[in-house]
Amino acid sequence: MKKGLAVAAATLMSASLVLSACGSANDKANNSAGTGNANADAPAKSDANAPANSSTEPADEPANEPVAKDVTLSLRHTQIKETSKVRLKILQDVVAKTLGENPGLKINLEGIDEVVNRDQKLKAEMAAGNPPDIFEVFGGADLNLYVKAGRMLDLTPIIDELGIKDQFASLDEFTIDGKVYGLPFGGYSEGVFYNKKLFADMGLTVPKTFDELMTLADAIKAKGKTPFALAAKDAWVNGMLWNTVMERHVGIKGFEGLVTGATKWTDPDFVAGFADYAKLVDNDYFTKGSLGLPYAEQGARFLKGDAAMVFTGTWDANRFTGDEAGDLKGNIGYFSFPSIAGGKGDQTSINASYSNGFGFSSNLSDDQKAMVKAFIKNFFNEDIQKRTLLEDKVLPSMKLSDLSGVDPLISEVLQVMASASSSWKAFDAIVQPSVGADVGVGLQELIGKVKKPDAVAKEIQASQDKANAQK
Amino acid sequence: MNKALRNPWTYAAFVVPTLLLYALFFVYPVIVSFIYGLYRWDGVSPKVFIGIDNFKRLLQDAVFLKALGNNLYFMAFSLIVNIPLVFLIAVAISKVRRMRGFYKSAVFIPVVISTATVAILFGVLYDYESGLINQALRLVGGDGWALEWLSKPNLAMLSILIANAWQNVGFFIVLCLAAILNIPREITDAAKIDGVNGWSETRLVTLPLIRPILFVILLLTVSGTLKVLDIVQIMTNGGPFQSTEVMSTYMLKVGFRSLELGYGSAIGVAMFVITMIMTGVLQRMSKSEEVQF
Repeated sequence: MKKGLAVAAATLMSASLVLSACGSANDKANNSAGTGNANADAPAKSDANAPANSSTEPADEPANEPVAKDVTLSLRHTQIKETSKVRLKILQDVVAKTLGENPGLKINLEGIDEVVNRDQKLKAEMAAGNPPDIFEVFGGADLNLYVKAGRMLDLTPIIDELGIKDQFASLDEFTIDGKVYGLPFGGYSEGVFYNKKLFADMGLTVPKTFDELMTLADAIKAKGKTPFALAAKDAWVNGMLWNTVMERHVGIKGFEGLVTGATKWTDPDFVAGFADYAKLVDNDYFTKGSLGLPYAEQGARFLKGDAAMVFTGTWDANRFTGDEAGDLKGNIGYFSFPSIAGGKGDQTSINASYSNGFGFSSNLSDDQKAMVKAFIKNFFNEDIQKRTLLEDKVLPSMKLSDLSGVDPLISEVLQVMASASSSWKAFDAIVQPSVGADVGVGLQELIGKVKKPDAVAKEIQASQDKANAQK
Repeated sequence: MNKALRNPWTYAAFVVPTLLLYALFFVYPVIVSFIYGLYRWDGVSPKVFIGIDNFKRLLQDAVFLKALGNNLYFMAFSLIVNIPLVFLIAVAISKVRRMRGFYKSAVFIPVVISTATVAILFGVLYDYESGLINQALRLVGGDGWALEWLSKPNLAMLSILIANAWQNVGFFIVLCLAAILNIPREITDAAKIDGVNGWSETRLVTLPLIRPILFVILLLTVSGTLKVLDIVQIMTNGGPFQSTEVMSTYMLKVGFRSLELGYGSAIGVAMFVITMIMTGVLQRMSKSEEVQF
């Protein structure tokens, strides 16, 4: 009897251990999976809220309305940094508005880090088939993969019904076989931000050609300043300026040909592109010790006045017009990268993209789809787009009829974009991810001056051959 | 009660939960990684079985071999520089009578700081323009003395190792110190009567008696350096141009950046096997060395 009791007690204790452990493990799984399965059973889901989730319920639910259907949507965003609190506020306002209009609706917001979402969490969820209902997603390679796996909701009927399809600047990166699988909430272009004060002090003007740029950079260097701020620790940062130099040489068709084998990285124009980039490096136009610097540093150095220019995307415009800019506030300009004589590309084109947007899970119920439509209607309209442009300085993804009150730097950016002869998407949205990674390594080798342009080109072509052979 | 303790099921009841968790979070992932290592898989599309091709590729992958080399460099540095340092500092602290508590906490403080913080702090110290280290060097020897700590491939690894040493030795010192202070007075007193003092006491008495702890430190160092990830990831992200890549950062890159999850799993399995073999050999070696007071 005693023995039985002891065994029972031990079993009970250990069982409770297992259960509690499993309980917490389950919670974790639930949190990481968002509210994966598509059933709209609100009470069951409410316990899956992560502590960070701000689950908002309609505050003033009218008591005497017909019983509203309970619908829950999970929404994953990445606006958790100090720099993106404005964008988060806009998102929260849209959510609140949607909730107010739809009693019974519940939207669980979950904010996580951008890189973690893009590279790990969302990918894992996509593989398992349980992404959040609404989530931030990148057009291009990522989206392609998810659409192929059947995880993305086809939005074509929804935007047709709302009549907003033609209002977007470009849906290219979210369109696959004529169907739209995501909606960009903003766009960007990449070009040169420059310190107008420094330019004026040194009597410099915006360069129109690559040769003029070199002369200009030499003049800046002679005055003891760094021509270009650069933080080269993360490969994608180096890719931006290089990408534009390369496009001037080979054209966007050249990039597209890499995947089919029509062009090769070792072709003379490509090698010339690498060589021109290496020229910038070899003349010491970039921040010294850049290979050890994280991305935020290049903006910091530019704003400190150490460097006269920085090549980056317009997402940095918000920072450049903010308080951190100090004296430079209002003294920063933007120009498109100069043309390169003899290049095959479109010499006045610009790298612009509308690839950052919202996607929706394909396993939504009809009720959830209706709510998604309400959310889209409230989020993708001129009011919100204008607000995003004014408050967050993100370039609108929809055409705006009214541009009053826009910051001077932002209107300069919009002007540069409008006057570009064409726009194209970044190379890493064209070539395979493994090739993109090897381009990153090759550029760092150029920056570290350990390899010659033709050697780098050869290495990347080897990687391209391997990637092309796999598909 | 005794009867219950003699019943094997009682023991099983206590052990099973842990075993279950161990199986779920350790054994299962290892087995699954090995299986994934046999496929070509981008994480979302269906897997393609390719046999042991991924493992064959590993042996010819220059970057992986470089990463393995860096792990071994990491390990060698820790064994040759850190462990003697740990021992010397521990002996020194054991000799002082006054403020021993202060020294003990002082060496332990870096351990309490999270690795991410340490990595970022050292990143600031190493900055070419404004870092404290280069400023000091410039004061001493002029502009020519300033070094590109994190962006020159031959220096970057060393810079990481120094930061890592700063953070990790504290823990080992405290372990070592505890062992030294645990040596019974009688033994040291007897040794003194026999004419042992100063250095020879350390060499002939302390060192042999704390050997088991040194072995634990050795084991922790070996397994720790083979799986090192965070400090490298944050300080250099494996760069410049993969010169500081270690196995774990390369695994992350291959798996999640290049989306080759099959190959990434193969790297993980390789790490597992290498660590198993190394620690296994060490365990074998330690068997014969029991110390009893």
